[in-house]
Amino acid sequence: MKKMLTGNSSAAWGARISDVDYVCAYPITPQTEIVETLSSWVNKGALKARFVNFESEHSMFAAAGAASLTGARVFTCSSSQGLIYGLEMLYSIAGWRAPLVLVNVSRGLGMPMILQVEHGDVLATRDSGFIQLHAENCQEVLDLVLLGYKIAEDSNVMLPVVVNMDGFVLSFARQTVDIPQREAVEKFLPRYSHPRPLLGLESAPVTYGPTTSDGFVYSFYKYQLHKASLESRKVFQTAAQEFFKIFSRRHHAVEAEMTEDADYIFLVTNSYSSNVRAGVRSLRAKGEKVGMVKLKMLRPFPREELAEVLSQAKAVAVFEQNLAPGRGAIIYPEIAEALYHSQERPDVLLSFIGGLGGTPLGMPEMEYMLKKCKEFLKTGHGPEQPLLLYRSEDWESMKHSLSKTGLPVSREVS
Amino acid sequence: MASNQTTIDTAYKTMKDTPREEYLQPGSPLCAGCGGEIAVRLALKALGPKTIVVSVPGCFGLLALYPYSSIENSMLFAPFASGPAAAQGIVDGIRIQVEKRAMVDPGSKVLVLTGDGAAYDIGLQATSGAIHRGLDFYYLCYDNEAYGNTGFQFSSATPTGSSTSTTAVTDSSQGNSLRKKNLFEIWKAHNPSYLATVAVSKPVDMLRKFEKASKMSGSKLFIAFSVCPTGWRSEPRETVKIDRLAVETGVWPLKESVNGRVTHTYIPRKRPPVENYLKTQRRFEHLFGACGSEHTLQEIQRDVDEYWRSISI
Amino acid sequence: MKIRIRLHGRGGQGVKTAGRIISTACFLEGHCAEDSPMYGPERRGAPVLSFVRVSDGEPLEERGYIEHPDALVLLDSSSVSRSSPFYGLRTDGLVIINAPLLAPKFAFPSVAFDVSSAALRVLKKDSVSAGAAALACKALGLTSIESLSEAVRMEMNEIGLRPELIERNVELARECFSSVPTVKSFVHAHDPSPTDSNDESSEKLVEIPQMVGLQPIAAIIATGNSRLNETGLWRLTTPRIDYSKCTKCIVCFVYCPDSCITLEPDLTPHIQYENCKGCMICATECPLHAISEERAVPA
Repeated sequence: MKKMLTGNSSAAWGARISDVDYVCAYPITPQTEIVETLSSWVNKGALKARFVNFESEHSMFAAAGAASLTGARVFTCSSSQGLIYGLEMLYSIAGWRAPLVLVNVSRGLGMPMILQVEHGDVLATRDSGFIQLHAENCQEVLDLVLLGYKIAEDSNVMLPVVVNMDGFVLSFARQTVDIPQREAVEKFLPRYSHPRPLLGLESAPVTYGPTTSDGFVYSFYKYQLHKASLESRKVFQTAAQEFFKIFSRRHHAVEAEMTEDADYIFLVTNSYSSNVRAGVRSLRAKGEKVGMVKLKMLRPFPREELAEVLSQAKAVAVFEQNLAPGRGAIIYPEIAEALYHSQERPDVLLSFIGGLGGTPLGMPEMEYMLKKCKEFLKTGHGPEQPLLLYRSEDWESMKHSLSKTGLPVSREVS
Repeated sequence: MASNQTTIDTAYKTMKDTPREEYLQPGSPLCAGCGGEIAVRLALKALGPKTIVVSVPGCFGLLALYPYSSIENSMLFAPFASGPAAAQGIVDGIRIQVEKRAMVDPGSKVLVLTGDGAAYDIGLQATSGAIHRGLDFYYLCYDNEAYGNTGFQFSSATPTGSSTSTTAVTDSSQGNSLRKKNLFEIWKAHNPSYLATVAVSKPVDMLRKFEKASKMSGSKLFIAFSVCPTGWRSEPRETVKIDRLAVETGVWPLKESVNGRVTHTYIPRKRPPVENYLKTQRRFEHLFGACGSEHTLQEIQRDVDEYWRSISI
Repeated sequence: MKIRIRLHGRGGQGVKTAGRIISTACFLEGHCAEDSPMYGPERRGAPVLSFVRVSDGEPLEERGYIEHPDALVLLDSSSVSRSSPFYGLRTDGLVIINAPLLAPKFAFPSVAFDVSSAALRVLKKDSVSAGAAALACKALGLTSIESLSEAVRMEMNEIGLRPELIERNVELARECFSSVPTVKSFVHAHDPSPTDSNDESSEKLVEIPQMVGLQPIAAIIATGNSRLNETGLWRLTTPRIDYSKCTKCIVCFVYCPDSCITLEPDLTPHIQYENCKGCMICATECPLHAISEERAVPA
């Protein structure tokens, strides 16, 4: 069934066709529409689940993780400040090995407070043990929720999954989305059953989350968590093949397009992958040998796949919508590490930051990134990294705003 | 507001009716003479084997110190502020499976077990949310009046005059200058179905309260006076004696609130001076002797007197 | 000179303070020193450790727990039988122990002094941290009596002891310092300290496997298994039931925090000594005074 759906509705539909048992809710822009939609379905009986409004994200995540341990299929969602407010819980959910799906709608982190997109929120959870899948469009939001449950509940994985979409750009944008039939979904996603559910049965008691004072115990379980996360790469591959057979849509951890003969590759995640694809096509039309790589899976980090698709390029421009002060972009060093031991690797690997708070990514940015890569290749001298993609008209607007703040105007502005 | 328990239908008439079953097992890493441990042990006796315990950081997090657990029941260890929220997940997770998946109802009860740090301070918001949502659960706060597990720092449950490692006694300070937060009234304002204070020196009173609560649905909350020999610097052997003194001097009133109606379940008629209680603990030792503070002592006594006057027994 | 010292005692006995006194005394002496306590959930009465490293020249380039000490300080002789403290001690390592001179012989050279008796006389209580630290400073030839005295003052002040009690601790420390010899052979034989060769073998490392099923999940299904913890070893005093006085009122059963009192069908109570921590609540509460207190006998 094809429908026009926002990213938020797609997430809600993903939960609905996954037949989730329990929805833990707390409002935050730009995620709120997901819980509003689910709430109305539960009230109307369209989704048989228990829906609970919590008093904070921290409590919401706590309940979500605990419910998963009882054997319920759990859905929850958040964004930005809310995700970070509950961050402590995310480590515990992963540590409990409680499978669930959390949809994050990416939004910048104050201060300054903003509602528009930046990936600092979801990337702050990257070391929590959650598997991370990032969506390019509304269809992918729905698909990744389904795939998310499939991977999370695999007996060799037993980890929570965060599915990320961009605030506003996807959350409030309507696109055509193919909603699979329930029967097909049931075939793909069998009922979740926890191997030792927390039910208070005298016959099967269990304690989860014990304390330890021994490093060898802590090391052991942390390492098992890591191994399970790595295992999920294989599980994702198999699940994606099955997904293709049933739903005829392909998903890969790393998706390379037009890279076979490409000298220059743009690397991107999330919704701006579409803009990059359009830009690559335009540049190709002008005779540039460019291609793109979209990272769909951020955790576990698909380093081998990345190294393989990037190794033939002369230069790679890594475009990211996040800024870690004092470091630069967050994913860039992980890509450098992935390439480090490759016999063949690009001569140039450049870090670009843009789209913070929803600033545009279009041909000017694509041309600029390509130009910088070429300059570096030619001269052997690179710019100070990362390079912030910031348009001149934005600079004019910024100067105008500065002049209204009442602060003394510095020479650079006037 | 008088005691009227004689008419109550109860399985617990005397101490001899204390259930023999043990759910708390020997060998816990808790300190010798821990008062809170007696409270948990009695609570589990009353609640039984289908109880799932949610524990958070604090001394009783050690009831699951890998690879051992000290209680027979199932248990989940959750972050500091999240106890009642995790309980909500367990209650809801089981309920929806019974409703939707035709799972046999396991008849579970969920007991949140935290110290005063979590109950009075960092977990108050989560507790407020859970009671407000009418969550069907039990909450036992073992109140030892400070952050005991980290070395006895001030919490908002610390009483006036107590020294802690963050309210030191100096020339200008007589320990904690703030009053103990009134958690009973804060919780009561949320309209839980059942709310009580308990003390282990009155085990029959305590067992009856759990018995009564377990016949109700909704939020059932208990604040247990918990003598802490390590933090209070008292003799482990005197734990129950000190507990009794707190009750008899009127420092720790025993009461319950059933759907908002408060009853005192024990009235200390004689009420000896609070000194008798305070002198058993070195956390109050600065209040006595040559450099002692007559003023703080009087304030503590005045607060206790005022409390009992106010409930007009 | 480079010495690693491991101190053994029980929670509440001043093991950490003793380590700090040794370390501070060495610092005052001009040595390079480091001390650290074992940090864990251990409670009053449970076996605990602390660690001191001292060097008179080179900087200390080791961190963490001391697995291979050059000397042990045992704050009470019961720790010998209770917690086998000798693991990792080098074969010619020195054992410094709070025990009467006729203490049991060890397979290691030892220095013994009855600090407890001295403490009971000087402090009126069995508080041995200053005395035990003094034994170590003297036996290992680490510091002068002046540095030791000052260290006792500093550390006892730090934990909030009253001035008169601090001075009595200094007195105790000086008495202990004067009562034992410096073990010259030990000090000389020991420079520089050898490292256990096994420790440097890469063969000691393994690659741990990826587990399957529930095993990779931090879970316990043998719930209630803590009775395997022999917390009876924490006991400083032991309750004994005089059955001729017992009326089977079960008060002791009700108040035992650790469920260590079991009842026969006829309500006769039995104390389970493997786990009884010796809190003595049962003895205090017994209305007939049928439970007496027995000092735990040091091994």
